[in-house]
Amino acid sequence: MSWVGKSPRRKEDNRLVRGRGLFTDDDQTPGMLHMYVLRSPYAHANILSIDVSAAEAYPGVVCTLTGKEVAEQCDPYMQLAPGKAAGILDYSIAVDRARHQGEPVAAVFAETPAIAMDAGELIEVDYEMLDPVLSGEQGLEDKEIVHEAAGTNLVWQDVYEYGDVDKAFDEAAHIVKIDRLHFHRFSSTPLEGNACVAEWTRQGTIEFFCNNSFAGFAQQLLSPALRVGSEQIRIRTHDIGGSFGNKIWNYIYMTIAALGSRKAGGRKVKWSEIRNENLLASGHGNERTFLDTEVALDQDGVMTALRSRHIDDCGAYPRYEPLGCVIWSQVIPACYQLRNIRIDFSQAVTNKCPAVPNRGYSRMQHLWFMERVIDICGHELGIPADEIRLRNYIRDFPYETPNGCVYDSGNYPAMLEMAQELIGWDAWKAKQAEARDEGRLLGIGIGTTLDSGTNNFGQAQIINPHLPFSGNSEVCNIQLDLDGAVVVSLGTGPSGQGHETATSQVVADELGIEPDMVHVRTGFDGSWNAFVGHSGTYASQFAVTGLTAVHGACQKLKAQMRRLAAVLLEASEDELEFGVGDEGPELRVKGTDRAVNYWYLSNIVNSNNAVLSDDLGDVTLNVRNVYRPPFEVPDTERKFGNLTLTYASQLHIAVIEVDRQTGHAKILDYAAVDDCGKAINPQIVAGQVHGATGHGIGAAIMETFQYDEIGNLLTSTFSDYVPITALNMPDVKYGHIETPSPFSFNGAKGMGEGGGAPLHTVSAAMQDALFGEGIIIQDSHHSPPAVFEVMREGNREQVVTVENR
Amino acid sequence: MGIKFDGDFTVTSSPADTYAFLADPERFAPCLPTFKSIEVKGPKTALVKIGIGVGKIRGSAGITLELDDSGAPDCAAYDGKGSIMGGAFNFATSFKLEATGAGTVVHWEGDLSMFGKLVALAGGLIRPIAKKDINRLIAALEAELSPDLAEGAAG
Repeated sequence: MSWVGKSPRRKEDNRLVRGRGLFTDDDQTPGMLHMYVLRSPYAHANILSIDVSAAEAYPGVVCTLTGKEVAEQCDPYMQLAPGKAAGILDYSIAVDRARHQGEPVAAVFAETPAIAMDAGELIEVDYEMLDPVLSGEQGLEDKEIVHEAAGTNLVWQDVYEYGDVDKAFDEAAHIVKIDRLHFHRFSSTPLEGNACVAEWTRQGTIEFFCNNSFAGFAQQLLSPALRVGSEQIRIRTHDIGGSFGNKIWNYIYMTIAALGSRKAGGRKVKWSEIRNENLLASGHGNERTFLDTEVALDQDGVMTALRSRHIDDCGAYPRYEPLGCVIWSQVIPACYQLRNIRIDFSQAVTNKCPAVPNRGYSRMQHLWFMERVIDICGHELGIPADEIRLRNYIRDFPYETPNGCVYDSGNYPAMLEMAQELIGWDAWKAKQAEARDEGRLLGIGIGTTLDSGTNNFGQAQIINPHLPFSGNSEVCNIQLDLDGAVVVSLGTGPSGQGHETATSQVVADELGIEPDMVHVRTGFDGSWNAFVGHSGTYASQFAVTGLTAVHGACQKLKAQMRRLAAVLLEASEDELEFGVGDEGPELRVKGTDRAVNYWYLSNIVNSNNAVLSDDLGDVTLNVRNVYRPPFEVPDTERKFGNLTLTYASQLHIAVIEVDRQTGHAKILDYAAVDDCGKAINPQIVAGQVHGATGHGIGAAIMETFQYDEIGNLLTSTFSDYVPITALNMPDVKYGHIETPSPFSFNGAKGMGEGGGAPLHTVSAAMQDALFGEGIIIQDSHHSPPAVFEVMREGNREQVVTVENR
Repeated sequence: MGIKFDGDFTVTSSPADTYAFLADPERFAPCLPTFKSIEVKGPKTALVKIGIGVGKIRGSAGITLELDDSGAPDCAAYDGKGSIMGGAFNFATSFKLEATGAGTVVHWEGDLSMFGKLVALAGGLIRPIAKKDINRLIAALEAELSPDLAEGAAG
């Protein structure tokens, strides 16, 4: 019986729904201190002075920490960007200038959270307000400089060019020019905010219990910043209540808590973010502006070339973000056969919250852009939305993109057909015609997208050739415990994705046992669990890197078990099979009742090993396996190479009606089709699709980080940010096809991020509803006031021009 | 959140008396709505405490008020900044004086910028409340600088 492909109950849910999970804030060690972070109310201001005396005198306060102390005790975090941006000085607490609203300017460590917060309000900070930089375009002007140490706001700029762009434009039948498109800021609002517990022990080690979702990376940043050896840092996670990439960056607070612990004499320090802090300062998805886009098409509406200029606003500190300057290029032609491309890409710092990886990170912005491009071209040329996509889809796989990425598998036309069937395309088309006759604004939109999974970190060298990252890896340790239990540990730190369940399914299949017989240790542990430098949960890679590591570990364990059992059963290894007998999991001689169970095998190795012969001395029944995807370092000059291992795809269709009086968009129907290759656990896959759909619909219609003209974040509470809830969700008609990846051991492709499909789809449906009103959808966010405003003015003539030859 | 105000009003005091009043923080500050106290820090600087808030979000704010008398005797101006409950505000205000008959026309401008938690929590409520408080300030200044009218009205 195969467990992969079935949907056994998620093992982790038993404890999670019963309140038996272990989250960071559950650490209630007696005597621990609590940290409060005082934050800058200004987007951009010099810090003239900080007076912490009243806070330190407040009963129950043990100590405080300022940026000046941090700068004395720490080195700035390593910068990923090259050139002048490498000079950016990034500390966990602002030293002499605050660069975004919500940036930490001091911290208080006290006996209770309330005391820490009250004392924090007693800290007097004298600011000198500076003019803020509030967009990437403004940033590139360098009139106001965010980081004086860098001397420029430019983080990175270069041109990605492939094929013969100018020739394709010379030969084009149509050229569509789009003045400006904009992908807005939003984030993920995980159930659990960022949190950490830090203890700087008397032995000089630093123990972290936290919810960082890329602990392998965090360790590499924390160690030099705190001026300690990597071996002195132990990072441990357990249950994590959602990350979506956002929690990669929370090493900032881990640093502050660690320094506070040291200053407090080694007492544990806990910090748990509140929602307002999360929205204000915990990291936003990056915001991108697309300028001067030109698309060449042949007479059939097939895109032959594209040139454009893209500007990323990465907020106040680049941190992980320079990688966003290349990660989008994993999907440079999106789902289309476009070969001639020139994109001038820049990234600038601004005085907004730092951008961090966020579900669909960097690729989602580009895929939205490409979907807007094809959608606008279709409308302008009078080609139906489904038809223009069918004329442009990539059809043969594996497919090498112009920049050397290899799309492993897919069938976009089949997904379109399934989605059209699910939603009742023809019936909705008929209803749309009737609605338009009545003057109603009803639109049907298609979004086709990709979820590229398993990064080749070598792409970091396209940004900065000196970065010591390339390839990827994940590790699994599997052992037979003393009683023969199968115990698995992973480098990944799950945040709700069901790693325990999926891992158990793979192990169960390999050992011929049941998932309940497999014990998967939850969370990352730098001391006791296996991990490698790439370990973590990000980039839709668990199903490929994580489970391939598990699969390989199983092979190694089975080989040892076979060797041992063959001796014990006096049979050849070929005669043995794995299974479950009367005494539990066992190896047996095929067709006989001669068997040895796991307890016996483990006992021989661990407790009764005088009976082992010398040639079995290397049998430990405790094996470690590292999986390394077959990546090469890309050609950094040409920006060419395979940047990702697998490409899951998603195709959504939405039917939306826009209220002519208010601009409010109501979703009338919604279909989502997913292709992640072999679905290891179809129920988990469906859950991810529904989650990503809700996430994207929320972002498209409800959620945005809106700043005012002086850098105040106006949407820093749930009342204003308005995250999507079940009440706002349409019923999703869900479908799934499987085009197995040839690059993973079981055909699976990473799929958790979802490619931002609803953003593309909602924008396309809005476009379909409003094109007849002379409107081009330029923004990825569709709040009623914004839609109403554009409906009042119309913008098509200003935004798009078409040259027909 | 940035808010700009301007306007003018006429008072019966002479320009010299009007300037003397406006340029004296100890006389000017009590006209601020919800004024609580003043502590003079120097010839041109004072720390003023006022009540501030929206709805149930209330507290007191300290304002560092600095007189700009470079335009004397025709213009009195103040720069101020303060903080409250995770937020901050900056303002600049000027009063240009023009003699008219027996009194003075006061042309005033104000530029208020608010930052932080109060803006996030109170959002769009702030603008009308700020406008109301500015109107109260102007009314208080008018009353102080037109004592005869105020007495007449009272009588």
